[in-house]
Amino acid sequence: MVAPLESDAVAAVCVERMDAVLAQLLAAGTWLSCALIAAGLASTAIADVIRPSAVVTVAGPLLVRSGIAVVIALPVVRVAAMALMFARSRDFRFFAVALSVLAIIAAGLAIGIGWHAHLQG
Amino acid sequence: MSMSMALWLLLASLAASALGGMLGMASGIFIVPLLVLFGHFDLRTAIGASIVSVIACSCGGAASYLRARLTNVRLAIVLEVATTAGALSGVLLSGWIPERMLFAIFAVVLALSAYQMGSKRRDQSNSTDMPGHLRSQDGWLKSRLHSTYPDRQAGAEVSYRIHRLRLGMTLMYGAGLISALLGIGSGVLKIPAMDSALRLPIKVSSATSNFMIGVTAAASAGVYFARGEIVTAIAGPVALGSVVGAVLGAKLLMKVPGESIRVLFVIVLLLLAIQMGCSAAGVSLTGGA
Repeated sequence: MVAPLESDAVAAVCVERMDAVLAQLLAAGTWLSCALIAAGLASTAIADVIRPSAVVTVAGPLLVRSGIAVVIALPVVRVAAMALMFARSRDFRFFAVALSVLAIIAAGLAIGIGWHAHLQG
Repeated sequence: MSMSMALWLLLASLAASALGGMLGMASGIFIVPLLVLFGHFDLRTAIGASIVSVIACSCGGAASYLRARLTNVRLAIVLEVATTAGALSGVLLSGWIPERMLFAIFAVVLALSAYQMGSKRRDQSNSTDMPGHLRSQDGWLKSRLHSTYPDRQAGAEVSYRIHRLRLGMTLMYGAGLISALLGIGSGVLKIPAMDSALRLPIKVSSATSNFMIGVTAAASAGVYFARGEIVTAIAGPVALGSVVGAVLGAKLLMKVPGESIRVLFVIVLLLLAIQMGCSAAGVSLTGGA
């Protein structure tokens, strides 16, 4: 009975560390994406009101697009981070589970885009 | 897109998300009808904008749940295999399903959500000390998913066991599919999966499903984004408004009496279900296209 208790304690410490790292990653990513979208909307508003240079006009939509790209990429980066942390703690079964999730997302992206291109002709 | 439209989108999604957040709901179920019925946007454009806001709200809310140690990250990554596979199926189906059928599915999901909101969630978990002989009866996977969470009211660490993992995975596959098709968080399938099949404590269930929905939605949003089907001028203000609204809603949750809002939301969800149902039948009640 001693061995399982020790491994439980080690696992609990690993999970707690993982929780903290993931919380930081997700909070920082959300802030970054919101800041990019807000800056983009503000640039667009400025361009609308004072009609400045083409740079500001182009920058707004580009910033909003980047913010959205960060939003969509953030959970995928989170899964990749989990995979790395499982691998580092030699938890190879859960490392394989995390890799499976990444593989399904990648397959979805490839099939979804390929299928769309096929339908478009 | 004019700035006044961007401002309308920002404020409308802020309000929808704040109201949803007051009941611990994702905002997607309100944002799609809001954009379609009142903003008169195309359904697929609304779904694209909503799915981005669902991810943003999930990521924004996940940090506090993780810090409170309520999220079961191992269980989440296992269930995400099913939800992302469901999302992949949803993406493939989305091109084939006619818009009217999407309206009809949305109406059904809204009606079921109203029913769920009307009937209170019951905690079906069974706390246990998990002796070794019980664990050994589970396979390697299930035995690694049982966990504990800190109960502040009891001032103690509470253990819980995972039940009926296969049924939970099946329901999660459906949740991923619905999420990709409709651009929502799919609470309608996640709540029975988490509460009735897996029998998680409600706090763990809410935290873990919030954690998972980001990846589930990203699996379909990535494809929609790469195909150019997400209109950034609409999705940007909607995502920003939703995140701010979710933060406000979570704070208001503590201050506003829950029961009266619950009744109000049941009525709102039913009205939206009727309107989406009418759109499926080709009848517009709001004067839009």
